[in-house]
Amino acid sequence: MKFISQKNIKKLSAAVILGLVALVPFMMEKNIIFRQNKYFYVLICLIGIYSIATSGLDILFGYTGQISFGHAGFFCIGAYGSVLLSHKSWGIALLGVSPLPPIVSILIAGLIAAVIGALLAVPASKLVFHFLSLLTIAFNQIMLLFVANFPQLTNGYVGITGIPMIQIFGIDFSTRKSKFMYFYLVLFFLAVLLILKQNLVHSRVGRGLIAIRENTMAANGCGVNLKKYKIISFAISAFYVGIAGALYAHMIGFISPDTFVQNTSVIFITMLLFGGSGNLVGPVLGAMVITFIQEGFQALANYRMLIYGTVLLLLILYQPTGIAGFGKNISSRLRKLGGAHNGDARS
Amino acid sequence: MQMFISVLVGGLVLGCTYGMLSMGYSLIYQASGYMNFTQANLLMLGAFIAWQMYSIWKFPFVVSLITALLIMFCVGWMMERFIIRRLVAKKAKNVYVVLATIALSIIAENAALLIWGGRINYFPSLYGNNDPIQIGSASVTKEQITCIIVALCAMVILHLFLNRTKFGTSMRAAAQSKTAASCMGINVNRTIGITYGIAAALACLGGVLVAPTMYVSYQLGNNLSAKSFAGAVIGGYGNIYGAIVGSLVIGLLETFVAGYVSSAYKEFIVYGVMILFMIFKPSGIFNAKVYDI
Repeated sequence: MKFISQKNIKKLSAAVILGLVALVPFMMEKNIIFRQNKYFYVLICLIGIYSIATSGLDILFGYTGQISFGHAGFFCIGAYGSVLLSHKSWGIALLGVSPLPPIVSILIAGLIAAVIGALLAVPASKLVFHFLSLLTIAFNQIMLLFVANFPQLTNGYVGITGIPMIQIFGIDFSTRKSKFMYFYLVLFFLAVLLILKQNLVHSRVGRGLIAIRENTMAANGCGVNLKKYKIISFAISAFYVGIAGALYAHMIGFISPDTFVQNTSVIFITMLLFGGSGNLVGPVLGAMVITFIQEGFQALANYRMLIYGTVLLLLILYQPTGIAGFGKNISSRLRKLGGAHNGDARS
Repeated sequence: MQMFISVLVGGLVLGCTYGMLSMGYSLIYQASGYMNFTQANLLMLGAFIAWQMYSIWKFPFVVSLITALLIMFCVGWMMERFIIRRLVAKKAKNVYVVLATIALSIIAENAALLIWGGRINYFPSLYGNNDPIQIGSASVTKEQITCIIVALCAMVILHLFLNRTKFGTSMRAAAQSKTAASCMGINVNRTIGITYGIAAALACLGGVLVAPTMYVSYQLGNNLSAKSFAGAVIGGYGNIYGAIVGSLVIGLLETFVAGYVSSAYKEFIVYGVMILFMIFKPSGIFNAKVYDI
């Protein structure tokens, strides 16, 4: 049938998976998977939020080949931006402007992060890539120092509590009142952003980004405007991570500078490399597995970063394509096993 | 005047420490074209090894310093041999090598945390009597003067090694062009390995020198690493002399801002200067080659 073509199969399977994921909270209610424990609801929301952030980093690293060790800085901008715009007693409320509803402040915080990402990319787009990594590390440190050392603005290391919960048309998405409504909000954002990411990657802009990743000089020779596309890639990546940061702030209800240290950037990169960069499901898988490891191995909290470092090193040495790359290898190996001829174009 | 001298000496101490680290960064970039983020944590490991030997096992200071240098030289050499060389042979992209060095630095930091605990340790005094030296009306500790003098000697020795000895010249040749150097009979793999070892030994020296004036803790590397990058960038990335000059500038800038303006703004000023240099003069003071199309 014409309906079941190659392209439509992918869309159908994506819709089916989305439906299954949307049923997860109901299965948790009925104790089918996990237990009816508030902690697990927060866990799946966290997975969603980290998936958004890792997908953003994937646009920069997996598709454009630029590295950034400072994405926790954009996470910070998203979180603090959204909080300062919507909090009743911090931020713009101090200036006398009435605070915005949280949904609007989330989007605006994402846009602010995108603008700052574009500004950051302007000087670094001309230089050898080492400078981009140095610049992003410095950016992360500056953001951390900025939110920690201006107590009039951000309450310093004490942090900001009482972040307003999200309410859309009277439906309350807070984690206090309803157990799994916030998960649907995060799922909605994740689905929309992933669809946007796929559209970006399969468009002319996406092909330009992939060209930059493969060989910068050749891309320049083919007419790809390096500076413009690097700035676009950085801005979109920052937008994703900013939105993730804002969602994180409104879920937990409390933020402090300790969340946005250099370690968080390294965890994002670990998630991305673990799951596989340059494809759709890789970042989500990586976020899922690493979040489970992070929460499940609480007993080994002292060893946590050591395990991450070792895992990262082993991944880089032996499997830089991550789990998703492993999956691709398996499918081609199974096909070979099933009798595809060697040298056949299909194998 | 008193505050000026103590701030100046403090700035020189910090500048020399950043200089040890940024010389390592520039050496490695010049020799192999990669950035190495492990230097700062190798500094911390060197400081810990020397502290362990000097204050717990009660060896003489010079013995513990030389042992730490040798151990870190071997660590740097092994790092290049087993990890970096394997990645280069697989033709991995630049980012993966940088990520591997970051992973190594995380492993080093957390291994130190597990072995020695999270406590902040202090070096016992290096000299018999603890009297400060008087310069004018200010008093500086003997450890600070030792740090500055030994660091300057190390820089001079490195310069002489690179320019006057046969092996140093072959290192510079391999850094300029690997193919031409191997045509001349230079074992490029060995020179790159020794470059990494020398960079690690420099970092260790910096750590052992700065630890008596500051403290020894697993966080030591993190605080120093980003600013020594700033020093390397300002001086021209890849140029050793630029690294020294840039680091001294950064160290003096930081302590003068902390002393005369406010301690909270010193980090902003340092990172701000680095970003300004990256925007307006990325080739730094000594004009390194940094444009990529």
